[in-house]
Amino acid sequence: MAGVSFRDVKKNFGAVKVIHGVTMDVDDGEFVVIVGPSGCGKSTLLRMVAGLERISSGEISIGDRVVNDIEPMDRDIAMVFQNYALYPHMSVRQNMAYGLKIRKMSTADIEKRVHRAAEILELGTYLDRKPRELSGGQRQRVAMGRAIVREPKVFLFDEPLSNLDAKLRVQMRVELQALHRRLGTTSLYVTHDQVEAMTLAHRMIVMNAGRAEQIGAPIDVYQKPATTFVAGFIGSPPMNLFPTKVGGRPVLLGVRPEHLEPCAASDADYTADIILVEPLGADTLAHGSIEGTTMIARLPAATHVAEGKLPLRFDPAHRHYFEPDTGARIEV
Amino acid sequence: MNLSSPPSGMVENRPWLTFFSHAILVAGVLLVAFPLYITFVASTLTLEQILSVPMPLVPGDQFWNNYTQVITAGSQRGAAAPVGRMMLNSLVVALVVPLGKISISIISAFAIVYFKFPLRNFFFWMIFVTLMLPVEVRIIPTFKVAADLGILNSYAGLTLPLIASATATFLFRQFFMTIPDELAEAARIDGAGPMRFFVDVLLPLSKTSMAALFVIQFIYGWNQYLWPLLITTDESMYTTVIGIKRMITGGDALTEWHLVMATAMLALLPPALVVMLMQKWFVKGLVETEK
Repeated sequence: MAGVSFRDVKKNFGAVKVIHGVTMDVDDGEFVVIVGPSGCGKSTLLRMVAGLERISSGEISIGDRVVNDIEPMDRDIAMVFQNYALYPHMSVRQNMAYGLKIRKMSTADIEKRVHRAAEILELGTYLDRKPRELSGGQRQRVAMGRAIVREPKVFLFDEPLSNLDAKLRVQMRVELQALHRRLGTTSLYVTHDQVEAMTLAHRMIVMNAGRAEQIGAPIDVYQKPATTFVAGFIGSPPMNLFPTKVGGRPVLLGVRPEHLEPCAASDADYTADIILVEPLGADTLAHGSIEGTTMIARLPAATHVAEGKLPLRFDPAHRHYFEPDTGARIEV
Repeated sequence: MNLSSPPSGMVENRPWLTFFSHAILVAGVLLVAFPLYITFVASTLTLEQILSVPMPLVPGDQFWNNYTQVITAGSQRGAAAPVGRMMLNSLVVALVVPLGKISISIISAFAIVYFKFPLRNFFFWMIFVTLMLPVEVRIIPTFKVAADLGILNSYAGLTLPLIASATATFLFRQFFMTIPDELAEAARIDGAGPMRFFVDVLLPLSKTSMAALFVIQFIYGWNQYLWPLLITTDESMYTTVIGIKRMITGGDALTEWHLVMATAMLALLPPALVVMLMQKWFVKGLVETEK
């Protein structure tokens, strides 16, 4: 077991800079989620840890060893791909055993490891099937099995749940958490889904355009987003940002949709023009605008809202201020 | 699903339509099969019977005589080489050409798709450009090269120039490009080097493509006419297709048509067999999309 550390890691494809310098330490046994929109460089960062992309500058170490020039197979990592990348012509058993066979492990040891992985993932009855005879969720489990049997120091997950349907995704998310609790292996997990990031991560890295905008525990990131980008990306629907002035200085005021509540007109901080009401069952989303800025409020399901004027207030404890130009957080 | 009873509603039940479509099918079969039947009948008659008008339309009693003569001795009036030897030559060509083509093409496609080397695209386009030059266009220079190499009248001469194939390289390249990159990456993480990946993953996945290519190229090799005609002057190196041509001497009376027809029947057999035996593979390849 080992941690992973990034020392000012940069990546460029020709003249195009994709990663602008990431520095971070992932602790031994930690589950770190790298989250961001597509094209933000999150997959590239993961692939650099795997050794599938060269590191343009900086250093990545796994344990105490700098791995910049080490082949993927010798890095002591295992990777789970979005499209599973199972060998289509091999059975589940062969898929899991392939890497071990190449390492010239004895047949008995391979059998033992494969059986243990199959037992953990409840794949026992499928060992002799081909990937095409399995459902999406089962294939994803085989891909994880292939990672587990290698007993690596670090698991790398590249959007492993993106190809699954919504229901299965929730189920696999829970299984992944259970698996991590059981094995305790350091894990790096890439996703564009902020719910996966919030639920799985011990700590998350929110990436935007090749930069790590914020690194921290999910709840800290949620409660204190470091930039307007993070404020918009983590939390759904995104945080409302209203241009305003504090002490004569222009700032952006951030209020999450769930922190807006309807009130009497006399108590209102703002009056919104509501143009659309979406009852979701558990709560109700009210879309509209305040002084020309579009906004969303998440209201309790019991609230009766109609289109038109709606007086709203918010708890000052839940407000955020950001620099209008740079988007950086201002602490008040 | 039972093919003989399609789901109701899909096919309308109109008796004369059924009759009509069957009539067309039967006519089509007859159109193709009748000349073949005539060939077979002619191969079992004596020359006199064939030349008589009208030619009998039922098989004669010369089957055994004609076929043994053709296989062991050949025609007496035309080229006299035994067809048995020619069948062997054709078989060598028809086997070596597809096997050679498949091995060379799959390796070049592997290099082009999975390795980054200088001028990679240039080499691919060079291979691609040769697609535009059929054998006939470059046949004189190719003959000159073969002659200089001293491989006239040899199996090497018969097969080597036909082995290089842009079409097959292109086909494998296209197939490899449909294999997700992650598969190669997963193999790399598993510790498989390039050749190991080629043997353990790419080759098994290409099985059905290889089978299809084999059938097509077997027939291509077996039916070669122009190239063997140029490169062989020795009767012992003739292929069957050349053999048939050589038996036809000119005047109708001089040609031993019963032997020509017997040879034609023999020449038909191997490609037909290959197609029939490999058909299962095609179907399998179509049903299992392993990707």
